[in-house]
Amino acid sequence: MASKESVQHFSFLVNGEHYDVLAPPLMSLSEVLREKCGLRGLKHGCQQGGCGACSVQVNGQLVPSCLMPVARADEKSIETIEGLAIGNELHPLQEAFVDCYALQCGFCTPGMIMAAKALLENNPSPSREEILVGLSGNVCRCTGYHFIVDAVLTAATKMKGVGIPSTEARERVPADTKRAV
Amino acid sequence: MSFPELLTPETVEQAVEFLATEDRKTLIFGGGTLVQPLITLGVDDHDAVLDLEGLRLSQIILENDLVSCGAMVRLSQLAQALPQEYIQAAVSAIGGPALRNLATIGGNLFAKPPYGDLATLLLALDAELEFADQGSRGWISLNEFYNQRDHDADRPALVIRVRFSAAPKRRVVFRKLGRKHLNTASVVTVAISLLFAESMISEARLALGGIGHRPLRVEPAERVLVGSSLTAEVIELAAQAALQNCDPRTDVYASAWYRKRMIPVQIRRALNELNAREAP
Repeated sequence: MASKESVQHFSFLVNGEHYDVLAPPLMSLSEVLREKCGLRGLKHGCQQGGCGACSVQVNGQLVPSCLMPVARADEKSIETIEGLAIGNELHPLQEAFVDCYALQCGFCTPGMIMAAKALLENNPSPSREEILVGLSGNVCRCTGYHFIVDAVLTAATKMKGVGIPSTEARERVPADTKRAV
Repeated sequence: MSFPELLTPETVEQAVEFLATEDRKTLIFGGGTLVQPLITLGVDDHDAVLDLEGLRLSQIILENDLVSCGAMVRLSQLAQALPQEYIQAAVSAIGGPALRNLATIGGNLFAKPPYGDLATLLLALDAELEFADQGSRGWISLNEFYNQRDHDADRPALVIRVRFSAAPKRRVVFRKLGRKHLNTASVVTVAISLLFAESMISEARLALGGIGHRPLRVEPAERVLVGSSLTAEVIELAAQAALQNCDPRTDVYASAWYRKRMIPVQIRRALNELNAREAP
């Protein structure tokens, strides 16, 4: 099939909320999430997959959203940094980043936290080395990484036995809520 | 901002047909890690993008020691399926975990140095590709595929599958020198595969990445190795012979001068590492 239409309709869940969007199929998911869905937590950094600032989870898998065209996110479930806190209650990872001074300018933080979340879902008790490997796709130019690793270790300890609260499980938004953008 | 036309074939035949349309310049979209940035930054002049997702090429088949991977197998999927140390080393040398969830084995063959580390390993493993272009479909060695593309880079060819031997009796090593420990472009990548008959090397493949316009096999060094055992003298001769047919480039990561000095160092280290291992 060939598609010459400049925009097409796509629908997906973002943080448990249903979105319908009209967008060119080859527009990057990061662009769509920021500019059409208004979710500006993820950042446009290098836009080449090198910095990790735009990291999100698509069907549970960590991806740099700048490298995924929106057409490939159709009918999928996406988690962004906005889905982590419940009202004023921060996610353990967010809390640990604050407590451990794991950010300065904060530009890399949403991507770092999403990468850390994906890491802890696969490995709930990582070593320092495993954290460095797990976050190796995310670049921070301020902190020198030491405090970020501390934060992930702290969050891992807090979350032990509690598990990671998933967006779906928390049901922040009623299932029938829909947004058209 | 304008976007190229998106083509979404459902069969290989349909994809080949799309590629053969002469009045349209078409770019193949695998995992997206190479192509999506070109689209987003608007630096690409192709009229259309051919999306391989609908071709269902994400299967890994293990049959005895033969590994056969669809071109759309993701690097993270490959690392999960194959525990071999050299596969783990090559995959983990590429980008970060998020990128590896998108990047494909087929796409890596077309990643230009200083990228394409997996392709360097696949050259050393004597990998073969199943390809399709207008009027033909068949298998070709990766080495021959690269040699042909050196003469006709614009010939549209669709890679469908990649297969290689993971025979445990081969001794294989992968080393990458970069500016950082992780998530880095290559200064020099070395992959070596040796087959021994008792203590003598009966078959040698030595591939270098990160240095030229594509990963390449270094046959002068392979000739030094075959028929010899891995003595210090042979290792030194092979390391020096590797310089005979490679012409390193300067880029933002390293100068040609530095790469030229690092090639024998990396080969020496890789061969010493193989030598230190017990025979499988």
